[in-house]
Amino acid sequence: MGLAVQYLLNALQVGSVYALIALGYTMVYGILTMINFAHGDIFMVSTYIAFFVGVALLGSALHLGAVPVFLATMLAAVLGTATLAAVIERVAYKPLRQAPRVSAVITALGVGLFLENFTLATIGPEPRFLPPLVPVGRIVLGGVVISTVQAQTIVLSALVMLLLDTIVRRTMTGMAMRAVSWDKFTAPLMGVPVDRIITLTFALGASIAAVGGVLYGMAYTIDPYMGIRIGWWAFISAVVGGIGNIRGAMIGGYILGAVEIFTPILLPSTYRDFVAFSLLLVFLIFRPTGILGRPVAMKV
Amino acid sequence: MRRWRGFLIALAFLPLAVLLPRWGLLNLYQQQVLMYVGINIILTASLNLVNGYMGEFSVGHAAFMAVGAYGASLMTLWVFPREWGPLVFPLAVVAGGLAASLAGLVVAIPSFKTRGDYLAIVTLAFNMIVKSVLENIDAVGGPRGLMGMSRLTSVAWVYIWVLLTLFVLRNYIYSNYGRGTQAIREDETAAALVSVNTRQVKVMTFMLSSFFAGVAGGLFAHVLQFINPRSFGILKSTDVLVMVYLGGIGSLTGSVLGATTFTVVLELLRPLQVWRWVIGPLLLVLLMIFRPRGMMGLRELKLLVPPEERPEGIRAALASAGADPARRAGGGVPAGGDRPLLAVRGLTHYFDGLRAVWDFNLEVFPGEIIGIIGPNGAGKTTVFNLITGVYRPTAGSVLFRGQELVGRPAHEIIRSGIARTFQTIRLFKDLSVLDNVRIARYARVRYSLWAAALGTAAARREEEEIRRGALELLELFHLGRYADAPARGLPYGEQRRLEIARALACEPVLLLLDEPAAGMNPSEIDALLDHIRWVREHFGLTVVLIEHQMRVVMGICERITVLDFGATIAEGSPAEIQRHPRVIEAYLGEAVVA
Repeated sequence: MGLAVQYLLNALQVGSVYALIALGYTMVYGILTMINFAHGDIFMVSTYIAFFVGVALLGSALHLGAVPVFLATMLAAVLGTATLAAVIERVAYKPLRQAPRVSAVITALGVGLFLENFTLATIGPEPRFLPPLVPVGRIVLGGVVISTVQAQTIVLSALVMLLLDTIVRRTMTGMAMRAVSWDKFTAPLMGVPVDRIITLTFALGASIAAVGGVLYGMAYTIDPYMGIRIGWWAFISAVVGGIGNIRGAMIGGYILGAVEIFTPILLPSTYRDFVAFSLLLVFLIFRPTGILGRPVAMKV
Repeated sequence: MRRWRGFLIALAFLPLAVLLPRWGLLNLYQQQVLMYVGINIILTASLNLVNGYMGEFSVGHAAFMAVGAYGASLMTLWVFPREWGPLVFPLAVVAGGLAASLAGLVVAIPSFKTRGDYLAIVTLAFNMIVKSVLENIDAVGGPRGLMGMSRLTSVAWVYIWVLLTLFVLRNYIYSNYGRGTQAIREDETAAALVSVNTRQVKVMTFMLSSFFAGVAGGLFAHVLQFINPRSFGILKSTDVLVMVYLGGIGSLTGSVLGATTFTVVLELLRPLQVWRWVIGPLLLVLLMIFRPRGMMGLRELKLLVPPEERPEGIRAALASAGADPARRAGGGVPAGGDRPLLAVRGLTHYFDGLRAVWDFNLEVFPGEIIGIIGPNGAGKTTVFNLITGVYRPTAGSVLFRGQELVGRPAHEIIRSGIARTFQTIRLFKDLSVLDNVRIARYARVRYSLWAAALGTAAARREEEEIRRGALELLELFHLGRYADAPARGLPYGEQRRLEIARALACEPVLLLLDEPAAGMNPSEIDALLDHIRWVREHFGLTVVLIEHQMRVVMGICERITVLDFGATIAEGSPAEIQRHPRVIEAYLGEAVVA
């Protein structure tokens, strides 16, 4: 029993990170019907920002407490990553908005490779640990051990998702996003600044991924190529949940978290990717709109 | 033999490929780079077939290469004794290619339903799965891979395979199967509606493309002499994509250029070490922004175009074909029988609960011109879509010459003798006027895929026939002088005429015209009506016409059915329809009685 709960908590922790990243894929797809293949690498960059800011803050003479250090690191990662995503959107994707969709997808693949290899060339390939931003502690509840990072990840992710859901459903900006995703041509006629909304969507998606990045970095090692695997898993989450659907991405994230944690119980752990990608194929072939998506009729 | 000349000249250089390394004029490094260039040309050209010519978006090409590499290596390592190596090497490479083409089938099947981004993900997922499976099979070395293959690949072998690849791909592209492939890129639905069996084309194209990717894999494995699953990941697939888009989509010349440039530039950048993997992707992004169609972009070097397909070849054929109106004449209006040619009964269709067509009935007798009219949104085009198999009706039956059409795929329905045009013109815009017409012969082609790929005499004779027929048809429609121009450049009226010519190339008995007069002024409409009458006489057709302008149908139709909100509200002769109160109401609103 205790072990099952332990596994479930691990699944929730990993799943939270996947869900946070999946949101970025799904938001961009929702608004531009474009798969931003660079998103996983943007997530990777956020962990490096957290690494350098964290090291600097902890090494500085300020002797800040745990909470300010954590918050400052988080803020720096979010702002830095959002800026990066906005710049990428403006420089690389925006000129291609009228071009065939294929061009944008290839560009995204190129941007992703660029980020990976640039990080590799400048920082190096060795895996790194984030410095301990928050004192490591553990809570023991009836035989179940919860680390503080785990608790933090699960709770904070849920809060961020709730916040995003509220922004998209209840604010004017959220309404503008939904308007653009429904109809890019009519929205500007209603006074929606489409270009700004699109850039904002990229930035918002990256910010959420950065929250996931910091939380991930506090638990695992980071390296320049980490964005590929995690990005893919998050992307599969988005498709499984129903790409373009925000709540779907959250559900998909937790499902993939479960796949990651529970697969090694049944199969050798090297089969994890196989299971995840098979799940993706099954969904694409039998239910391409995912769990929460709606089918779209073809028009002749 | 003119057709083969380019390849014969290229083949004449083969002794050089054998002798230069033997004389020591190429050192091992240079040989290796040359071999990589050749292997990359094969990979690039094969992916170009799917991404450039078919317009699908496959991004997991390395998976097929992996299957070919492992397949060929297993042959030379285990199946055959080692000392047979050089003798069985071509066999091993072909076996690898065949294994890869079976893998291609796995991707072709999902492509029936999915397109664009989704298909891209399917292929990527397939790439990851192949890699993951190889990593988990201990018999083929798991993550460590296979090693110990002899260095059987030589510059000469690579050269031969490059020539073979280009030869087969060129023949395929310039056959009617290849034109069907390009029609899918331009407009898949329209392709099916001019008789292209889109599933067949997809299966053939994916399998052919994967075959050559597998060949490239087999050659690669026997240059490097060891392979592991990591060599065939997404990075490799991305490299191939870069080469395709660098050189230019839909161009074999582009593939040769792209693969050569990419391979050589990467070799030159080798001293930069890690930074060349930074510069490469950056170049890709810049390329997409500033030159999205690559260096060649749908253009082709003359050498790779069969002589009869070059502009001067088409002009010569046009001059000899001429317009011989008697040749294709179908012999006047078919005699009216008492059995209907087309009988539609109780046709009903819902779009997600929205009723588009309700209990539609229509009988068309041979030789008639029937009009279906109704306000916008009345469900007229949906009726055509239901008849031609674009949608499957919720209920009802469509009998054509006594045979049920409901449930049959569009291309079979067209093949059985129905052809149609579209409300909004749906030509294959980037293809030539001539190709637009030739594609419509898809279902009538008798030569096989093998004959097409090898360019056999029989296939070429039949192609010759198809071309002559198409040119005659174009001349008949006064479009001959545009034959080698892309369809997108034609003036509006000519595009409409081309669409009718294309429909006629399907050899229909029944022609469905969807708002042929849309966007025309009154004098153009009069000319069009004359034209339709003439087409009916000349080709011996029965015609059903959709219109929303009264004056068009009144002038030409013998009987008219009026639709409103998916339901039939009136039937009768033009004169009866004009006086019918419900028709007046549908068109003008409720009558105000003074």
